[in-house]
Amino acid sequence: MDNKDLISDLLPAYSLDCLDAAEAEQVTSHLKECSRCRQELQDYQELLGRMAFAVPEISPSPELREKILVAAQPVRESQQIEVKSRAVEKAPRRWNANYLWKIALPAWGVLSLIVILLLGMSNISLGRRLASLEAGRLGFQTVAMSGTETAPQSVGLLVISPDGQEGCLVVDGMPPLAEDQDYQLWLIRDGQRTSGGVFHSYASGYGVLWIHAEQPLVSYEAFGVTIEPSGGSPDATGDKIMGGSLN
Amino acid sequence: MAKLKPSVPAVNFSELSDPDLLNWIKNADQSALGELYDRYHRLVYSLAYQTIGESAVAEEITQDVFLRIWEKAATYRAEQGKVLTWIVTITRNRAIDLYRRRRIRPENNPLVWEELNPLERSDGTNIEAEVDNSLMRTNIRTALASLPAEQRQALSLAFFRGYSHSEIAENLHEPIGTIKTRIRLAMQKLRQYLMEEAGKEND
Repeated sequence: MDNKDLISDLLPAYSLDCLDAAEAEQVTSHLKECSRCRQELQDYQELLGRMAFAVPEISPSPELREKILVAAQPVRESQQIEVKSRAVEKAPRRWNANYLWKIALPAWGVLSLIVILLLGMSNISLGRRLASLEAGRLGFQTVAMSGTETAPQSVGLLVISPDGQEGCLVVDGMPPLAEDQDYQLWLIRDGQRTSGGVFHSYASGYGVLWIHAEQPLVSYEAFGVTIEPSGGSPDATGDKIMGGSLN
Repeated sequence: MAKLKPSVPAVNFSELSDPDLLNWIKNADQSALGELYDRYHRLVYSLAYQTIGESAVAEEITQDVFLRIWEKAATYRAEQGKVLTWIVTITRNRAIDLYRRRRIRPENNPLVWEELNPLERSDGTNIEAEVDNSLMRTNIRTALASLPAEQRQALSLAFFRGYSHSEIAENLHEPIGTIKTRIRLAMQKLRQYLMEEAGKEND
């Protein structure tokens, strides 16, 4: 039996990850130079995919779908921003003038607010006042978020769309997170907290969250951000980073 | 909840192939993720449940899997395998990892390959996909049912538990050489069966 046959016999177990370390290493190095074995391995991996279909089929609770879609935030990493900017060429979006107009105006508004906020970081209160004035002119409402004692350097601006339904939160100066942590926004009404979404910041401490709320955002009185275990919590458990009130 | 970020309503995601859906997901389109969820959530959840045996944990795994797909869609390479294979790999890794960390006692969660039950429930939303999936189920179950019981048992421990050869040998009180042979023969036979089936479909 030559080396290739020997490796070929190990491939089923390699695909299942049941080889010991030495055997696995032997297969890995052989695969680098043998396309036939790579193809054979791919067959076994496809087979494992098919084997999942033989499992007795059951369904999760119907709420899980919504929960996952809410947790899936549009902007999570800088690479996605870059990918998103190329979305028009890559994905076959069907634009029409009306749609473009509807999204372009608020998008420009939010963008200009972010620019103003960033420019204003050296003079935060002036920056926020300018942002607030600009927002008002466009029909947006804003909530200035101030850092707590835990994170006095953190600042945020929550921008609510003119119809009061949706919004986004721009933050900066956020404290670093552990690997298994996320920030979570809380929408507060009558002392009750509802999650407004889970997010990260970039290494610089800057971050953005598109907010998803069950009720119009203007119906909440106050907003807060805490540090929570990865994926978020049903209710706030961690340190409060920042907070702010509407009006 | 109020609204998710609006997608372009003109695109009918249910008509897109899996790799095309991933392209949309890569561009942070939540409706595309919703469609992928509709296609594979039962598969992911059932596999997670089979490994862990607790519905709440299986839901957590399902959520992790789809959020990982959401974040890592750009890393998927079609030339390295089907989307289904990628999803099952993520699910198995996550479920087995949790199984090991939680030290679940195997007797609480017996392993079951569902054998040859071609009649599936259908909600009638996507008949074509249902027919494809139903055929896939029937074929793989027939193939698994054709294996000797001891091969199927060893394979189950590797597939659901992520056990190594030596762990399976210990678990089944058999020599390790016997286990190696069982796993290899089972996988080779399944591969052969599915290759023949693909050959028949292409005739």
